[in-house]
Amino acid sequence: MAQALADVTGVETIKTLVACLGVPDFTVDELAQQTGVSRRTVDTVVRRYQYAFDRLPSGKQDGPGRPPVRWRLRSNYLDEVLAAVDSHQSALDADWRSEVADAPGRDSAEASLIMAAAALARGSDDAEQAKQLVAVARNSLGAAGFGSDGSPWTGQPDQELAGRARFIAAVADVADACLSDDQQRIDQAQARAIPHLEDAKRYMSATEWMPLAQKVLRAPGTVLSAPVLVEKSSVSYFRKLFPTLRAFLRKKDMPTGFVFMADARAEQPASSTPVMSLLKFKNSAETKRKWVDIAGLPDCVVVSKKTEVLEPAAEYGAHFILHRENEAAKIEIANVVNWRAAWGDELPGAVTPVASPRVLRASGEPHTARYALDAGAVPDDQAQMAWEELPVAERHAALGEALSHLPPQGQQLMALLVEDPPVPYADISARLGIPVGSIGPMRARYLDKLRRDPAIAALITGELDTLIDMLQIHQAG
Amino acid sequence: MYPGDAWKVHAALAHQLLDTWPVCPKAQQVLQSELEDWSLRTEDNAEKYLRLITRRLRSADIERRALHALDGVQDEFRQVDEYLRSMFEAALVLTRDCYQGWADWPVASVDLGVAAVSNPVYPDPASFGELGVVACVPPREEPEAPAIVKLTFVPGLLGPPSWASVPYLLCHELICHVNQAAPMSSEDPFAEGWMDLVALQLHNQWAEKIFPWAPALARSAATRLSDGVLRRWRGLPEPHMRTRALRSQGREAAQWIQEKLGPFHDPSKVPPELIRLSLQLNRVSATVADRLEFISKINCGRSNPRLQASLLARLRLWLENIEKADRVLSFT
Repeated sequence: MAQALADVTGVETIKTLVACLGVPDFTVDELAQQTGVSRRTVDTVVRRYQYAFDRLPSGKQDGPGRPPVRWRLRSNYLDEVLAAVDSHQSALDADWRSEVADAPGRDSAEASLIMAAAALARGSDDAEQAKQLVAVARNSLGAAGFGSDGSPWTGQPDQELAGRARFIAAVADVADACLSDDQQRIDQAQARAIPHLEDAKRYMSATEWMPLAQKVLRAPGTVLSAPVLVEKSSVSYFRKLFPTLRAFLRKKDMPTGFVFMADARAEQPASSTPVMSLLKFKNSAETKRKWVDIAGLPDCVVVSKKTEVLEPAAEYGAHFILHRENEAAKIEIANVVNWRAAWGDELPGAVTPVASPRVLRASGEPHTARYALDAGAVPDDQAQMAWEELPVAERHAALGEALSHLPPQGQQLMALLVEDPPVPYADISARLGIPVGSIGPMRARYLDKLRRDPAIAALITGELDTLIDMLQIHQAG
Repeated sequence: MYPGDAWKVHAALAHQLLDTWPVCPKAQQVLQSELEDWSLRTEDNAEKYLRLITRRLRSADIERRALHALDGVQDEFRQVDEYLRSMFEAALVLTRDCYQGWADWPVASVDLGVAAVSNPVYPDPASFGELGVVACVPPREEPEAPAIVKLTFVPGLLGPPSWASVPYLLCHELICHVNQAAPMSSEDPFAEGWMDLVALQLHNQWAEKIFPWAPALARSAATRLSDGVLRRWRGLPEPHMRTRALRSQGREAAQWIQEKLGPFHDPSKVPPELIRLSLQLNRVSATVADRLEFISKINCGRSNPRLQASLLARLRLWLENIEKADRVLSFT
């Protein structure tokens, strides 16, 4: 018996035990046929766990010989059977999955990945639900044929699914790390995820990619994912903030007075060239004196404890961070560098109208980096709104794009039709040189075109009124 | 012609052509083009519009059977509201009895709301006659307020298949949403995918009672709509691609559980195990995250014996009345 059991593989035991759970009762032959495991093996496993089974009264046998024994799993031994499955599964090799299951079909795998991404994008302020959503993402990766690290267990999946899975797995790690509040874990997860951002853009729609990219880039990590230029007299300050910053000698195209530095923790930098310049100003006189030198550099992060320094810096178009607390400043600097590394000068199409993050306004609290359109004009609370109102901006962008696909006459007509106060049809007719009777049908045709435009179809539900409202908002904006 | 009048005219025509629709391709073609042009008609009176459209069908040399069917269309026009009301009442009573038999039905009252819009609600490349009506349960402003099942008709698409799909849509809303003990979300794969399979199966059992005029057409329209919506998700604009993909995940999970419950099927118990379990699961107080996790665990469990064994154990204990459905929902 002992030898027979030793010959049975973990996979066969697992298949047999799971199959026992999935039928009300069975004979060894029936279970062998159902699982594809040999009769001898099923018999060995059943005898090994015999205490967990009831032997049922034998039925009538059709042919000669004794009727086969029927077994039934005892309800009060289910936990033991689960523990046995668990222990056998834990002992299997890394590629056990391909031995116990078939790879999912492509449609099913893709739908699972969409579900994984949707769960992560959904997020939750409730920690328990946020953990559940990370679990959903990882389970869905499993259902799609990938491990929780995004590596496939199904052999060679297609490149697109593999690229999406890698990114989703990396975002799940970031979300998980953020829930742990462990700074080192957050830093590591964010540093691993950032290099996947660019690749994932190739395989995901902007609407799917954007919320996940935000999860990565808004995570309170402190790794600088791309090189920066640090003003020479500020190097010691920034090295104190980022002890892993290393200086590199780069003579070519190097602006005077700056040091090329990169964070050693960024194993795969998102850019080979510096994406930001970092400066620390002590007072406003220094701001004016130094500004002449720094004009023409990549965007700047100016750090100062004195608010009066920040106003003139903002006028020159710098991002700035009001430094009140080291940890907060560190995270905010990393945030702005990482945003810039991921998106360059422009944000992705869906949020272009919000403009690139011109100013980083720090509230002095950790993890509260906000972006606004204009440093001087936007008070803190409005700056906070800028991102929260992203869907409106998305609508503007989509509508702008859809309008640009209309012929010039269509664009003019739609603009006149949503003017406030309304322009009389006779005036529209005179201005555009079209008969009054044609305005209505043309309007219907152009609205239909707008509604069907891929850029806008995602944002509306087909209601004419919704589209007209959007046009009016767009016009007003 | 206003959409609020046009849908009634088109519903009357659809009702009258139910029997002849599948065998009259020419009538299908002519009706499609007439319905598409509804918004160009200048009549402001529904009965006049109905006479006009009937005249146009008659003059288009359509099949004799379809011509004869048009004879009673004026009477049908006056009955449309009554037909809708009777479909709704029948579906409501059947759903309530089913929930009361196997779970619970705490909903005080449910009303029917009807609206019409000019443009298609979904961006599907659907065949004519599909998606001419959509349904939803709008969130209640106050918990004591009656639940409302709202049907929205799209006159340009409202052919007989859409009219015949009304009972399935009512069943979907009543079975999946009106009595669900979780917040409403179009991204809930349990409500939209899993429970939709249950709604489809119950609808198919009840078709004679809800749509006595053409139960077979109601079944085929329901299956086509439910399955079609699940199949068509790739390439759709967001949020449709995401909500459809999630729906398909819920459906896959339900089908897999149905298969797993197969060996335990007890023919003496009606409805079958999946339906009983689902009605109870839908009444378990849960968040959308709970439901997403449940569906994702089931689908992951297909390739993970540990999860699969745990689920099967909970199902056995539920089948033996040792544990309640909430333990199935939270299996780990």
